[in-house]
Amino acid sequence: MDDKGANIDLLFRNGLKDYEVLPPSEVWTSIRPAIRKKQTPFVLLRAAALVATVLSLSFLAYRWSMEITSGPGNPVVALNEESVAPAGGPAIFRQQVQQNKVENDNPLFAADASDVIPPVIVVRDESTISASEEITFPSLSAGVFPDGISRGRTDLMEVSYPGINNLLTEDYTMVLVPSTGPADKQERWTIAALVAPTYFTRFTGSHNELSRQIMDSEQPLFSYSGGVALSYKINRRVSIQSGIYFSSVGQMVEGITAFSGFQKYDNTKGDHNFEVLTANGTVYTSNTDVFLLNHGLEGRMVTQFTNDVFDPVKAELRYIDNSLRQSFSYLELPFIVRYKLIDKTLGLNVIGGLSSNLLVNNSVYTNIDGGKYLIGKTEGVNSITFSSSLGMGMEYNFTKSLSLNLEPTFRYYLNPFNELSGLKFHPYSFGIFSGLSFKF
Amino acid sequence: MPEIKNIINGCLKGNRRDQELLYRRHAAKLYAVCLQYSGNDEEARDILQDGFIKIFENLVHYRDEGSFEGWIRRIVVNTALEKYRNKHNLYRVDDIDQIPELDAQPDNEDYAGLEAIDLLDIIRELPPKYRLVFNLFAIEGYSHKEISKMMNISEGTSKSNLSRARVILQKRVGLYTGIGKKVSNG
Repeated sequence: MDDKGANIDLLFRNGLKDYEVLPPSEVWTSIRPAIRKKQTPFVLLRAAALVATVLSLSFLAYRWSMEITSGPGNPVVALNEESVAPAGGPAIFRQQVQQNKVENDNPLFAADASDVIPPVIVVRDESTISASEEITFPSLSAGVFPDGISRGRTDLMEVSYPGINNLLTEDYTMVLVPSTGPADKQERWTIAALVAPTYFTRFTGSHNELSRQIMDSEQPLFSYSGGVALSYKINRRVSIQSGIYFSSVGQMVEGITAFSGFQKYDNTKGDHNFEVLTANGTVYTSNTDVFLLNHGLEGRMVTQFTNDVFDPVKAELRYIDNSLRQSFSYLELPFIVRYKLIDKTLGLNVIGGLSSNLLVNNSVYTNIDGGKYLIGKTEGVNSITFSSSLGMGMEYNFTKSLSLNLEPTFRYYLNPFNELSGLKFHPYSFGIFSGLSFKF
Repeated sequence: MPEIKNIINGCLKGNRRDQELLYRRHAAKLYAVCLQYSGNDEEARDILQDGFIKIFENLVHYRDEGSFEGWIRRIVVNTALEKYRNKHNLYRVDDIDQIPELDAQPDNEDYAGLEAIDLLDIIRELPPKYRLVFNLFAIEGYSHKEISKMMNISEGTSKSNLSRARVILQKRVGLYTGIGKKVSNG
């Protein structure tokens, strides 16, 4: 029998081996617009992500390099408030303000000397100042500031005075503090615990009707992400961050009714009885007691137990639910760069980076009496996916070390969860991370 | 003639000329495959169209580890399988106890004169499930175990379908060549 069969097999195999038939020309004209449409959004998104990353990194590098070059280069004027010592620091000169003269010179000046803020000038070292040196000082009009006026670099005007002795006769208070002495100990490390509810969805690069119908029949479930992040402050504005997060995403597949009690009718002894096509892959049932009935999208379920060969109602199977729930859990290992835009009590950061996500759980279940009834799992799901993220981080500093963080973050998955089904869906999510961070 | 690697790279960059070149180079062979797996020309065109769209979509995943021709052929065959699955819910055919016997067969040379187009016509007259199993087993070289997974049927069903397909094919070949008459009278 086998030999006879092999003979006819060979006839067809050899006879058709190199056979070619020219397809009608309209086939290519149908393919051409389809591949153009499909490629455009994905290519554009990739290009946009690349451009955004390059621009962000260039901007960060530029700002970083500017700070490095301008930081220690100016021995006189402090660049930022952090490096300016408090007025109670090692003052060299202190004089009484001659209030009357001040008032005459500038009507904005406060009447009371206690309302007057002395200008702060920082020099590299006390020892560099001698009586014969000329030092740069603020002008008289800028020398005393009412409350509320910024004391940043732009408030300092350079005026040359003939010598240190002349200072003793001037009518303003001056504080000279060392700036290159032992620096304040900076807290470079931050540990944070963050958690976020996330809205998870996806778009399809596919144009066919089946993809659209599948997307319409699936609804995202409550998803969340949370974990511990450790960041290191490279300089005042730039930090790098890593950590470990656990995230759970899922979706509900509508139009599939699940029944239990099918085991006694199941004569397949092992293999899965039902396959359900979803955007995340094909669900294979592993629970032999479950019976699925497709009353939604035609062609999405493959089974030998179709409704016309087996009726779950006549067989008195127990109804469970009319939808399936796919659940995926991931361990995320992010690499994030944070750039501090505002460094105040309420700080603001731009956050961007990449994350590798390891699949640790893949299950399909349906709800039964408030519990979960396992159906099976989704086949062919990528065990590792990569995502890019972009967000804004708000940081409220309770104390110097403890902060409250709020970080709205958009995440785009660079590779789809599943590519086997031929239907490509690109997931993305939006979440608002919140938590506490501690600097040390 | 440009190397296939260059054409693939061009396609990945969205180059229209390379896309068309890739299509023109492989369309005729793949269309013949589509005809083998389909009952009519319209279905074959659909398979070819969807198959090529998948090929272009998945080019980025081609690893250059095996023959490119084999890779694209597998995609087209899988597309044909998907079409079949979407069209026909797979009913269990557990009639493996009634596997028919083939008639005595002549040697290969007795089939001389049968053209590829005749073979194609014969194979396309098979019922869809027999055609699929025969193609997967005899032409593509899959085992019954693999076919059972691909078609969601048992191994026994796969064997049964193959046997039935062979019997039908043998009869049809006989009608084309006159051998069938000779054998049955024989």
